[in-house]
Amino acid sequence: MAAVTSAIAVDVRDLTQVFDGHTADSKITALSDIAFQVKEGEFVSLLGPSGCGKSTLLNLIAGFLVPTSGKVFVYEKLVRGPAPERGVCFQEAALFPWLRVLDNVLFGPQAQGRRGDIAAKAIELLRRVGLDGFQNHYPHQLSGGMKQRVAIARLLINDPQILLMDEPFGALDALTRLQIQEYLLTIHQEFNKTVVFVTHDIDEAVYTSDRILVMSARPGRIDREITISEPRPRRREFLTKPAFLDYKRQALAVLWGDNASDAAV
Amino acid sequence: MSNTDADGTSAEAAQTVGFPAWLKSARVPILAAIVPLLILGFWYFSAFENVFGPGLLPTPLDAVHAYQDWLSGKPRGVVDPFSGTWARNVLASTIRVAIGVSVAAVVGIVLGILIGRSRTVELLFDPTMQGVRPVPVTAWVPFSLIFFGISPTAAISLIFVAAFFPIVVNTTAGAQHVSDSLLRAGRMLGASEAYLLRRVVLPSALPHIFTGLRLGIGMGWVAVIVAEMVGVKSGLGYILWQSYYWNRMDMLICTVFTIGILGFLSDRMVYAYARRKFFWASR
Repeated sequence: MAAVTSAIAVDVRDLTQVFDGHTADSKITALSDIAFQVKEGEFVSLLGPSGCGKSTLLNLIAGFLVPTSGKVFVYEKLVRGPAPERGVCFQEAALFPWLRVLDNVLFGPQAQGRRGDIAAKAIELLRRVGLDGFQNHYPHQLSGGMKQRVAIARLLINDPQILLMDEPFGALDALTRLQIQEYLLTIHQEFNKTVVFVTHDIDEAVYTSDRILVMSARPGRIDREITISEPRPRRREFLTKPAFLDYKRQALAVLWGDNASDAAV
Repeated sequence: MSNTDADGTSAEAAQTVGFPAWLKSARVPILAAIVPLLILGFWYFSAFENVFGPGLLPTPLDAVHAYQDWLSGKPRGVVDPFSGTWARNVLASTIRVAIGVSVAAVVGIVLGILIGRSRTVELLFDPTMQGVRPVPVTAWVPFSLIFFGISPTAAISLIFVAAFFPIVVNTTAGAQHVSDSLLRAGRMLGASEAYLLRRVVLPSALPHIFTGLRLGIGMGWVAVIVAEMVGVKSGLGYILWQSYYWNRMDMLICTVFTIGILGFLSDRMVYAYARRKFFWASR
């Protein structure tokens, strides 16, 4: 069972990100004064419309971008670049197409020069994400949902402290998405990982998260924090409970900028 | 029948009814054979009618006999200096192309990957390379002779220069087009920049690299013939020049034919290998 402890896993301090626009002197403020913390073991979603900077925020935590101002700390260590303790799941799985499934999973340990029986661990992880017997397939032979599960196994073998997920299930059909959300919830529980999850899907955010940070665009900022107190492990039944609809209504109210109906809830 | 019908469906129907099934399946080889047969026919005609002057153009049959002699070393008439030298000269040219292209591949791929991924390396090499690249390989012939004399090394150096540019340019393009998310994936999985070059950039760029290799091999065959015509005493280019010198039109035809076949085969081999290896690239 994933226990949310009091330790701070991610600490985002006054983050502002400005990109160059189309002309020489036009600037686009993607993120403005973002500050929040994620506790160890917590599942936090960044929810917002496209263009609100939620992916930019994730890329800053991942270390793919250097912030214009502000800092990101992970376990009190300043983020200076990507590292295996912060595993990233991309929108399009980003598997290496020339490597078999097993070799994709083994990429991390091999890159870090790790020895020992990593192949056995990789096969075990593939079994855990339901891909038993697929280790010799190539990515193009897999469905979208299977690719994302390989991508998750590829992260888990590095035993990261934090999983950063950038709309990883956005391209999947509704049923596959539900199924892989359940996989993710199981992994969050069993491996006791802290998760920062970017999505524009309200149902997905409510179903999976402990906390939702609702964002708005131009400039990107956090408008509201919604705590989902539904106990874990989450069950499918939650999706049709009145409480689920309440959370969804709260989130929609913020996204629509409708404070009156929010107050009514 | 309305006008709209006449355009589309009836034309198709006529085709299906007009030709029997076996003829339809043979369509590709039949069409492919028409132009070569016309050329062969014209060749026969002009050889028998002495279109290009008396005794100048051998008949196709004369050429076949010359080829047999060249291959086997059993001359049908007088003793022939070319007799039985086929294997030796084909081997000489092939080895030169193989060495020249291989060295060009090693240097071109390493340099191309670095140019494609590092702005500093690009600024260091690219301006010079773009300046030298337009010089045709034939312009380097005197240089190779001065530096290496009448020797196989002269030919190999020329092949290297010819094959290097298409390989380095295509490798650079391949290295520049590596997907950003694959690079990010590699980095967050713990790969160093050097490891990324080897295990992400290089395999991503391989389809481009093989395009460069195919072009490089083609250029290598051009260079080997030029080099052997003037700078070496063996190989197909040497035979070509000797044939011209001794006015042996039959041998000229045999040599040109052989060069064409060898160029075609080496390209097909690389192509077949690349298709098998890069099944993932087309998806």
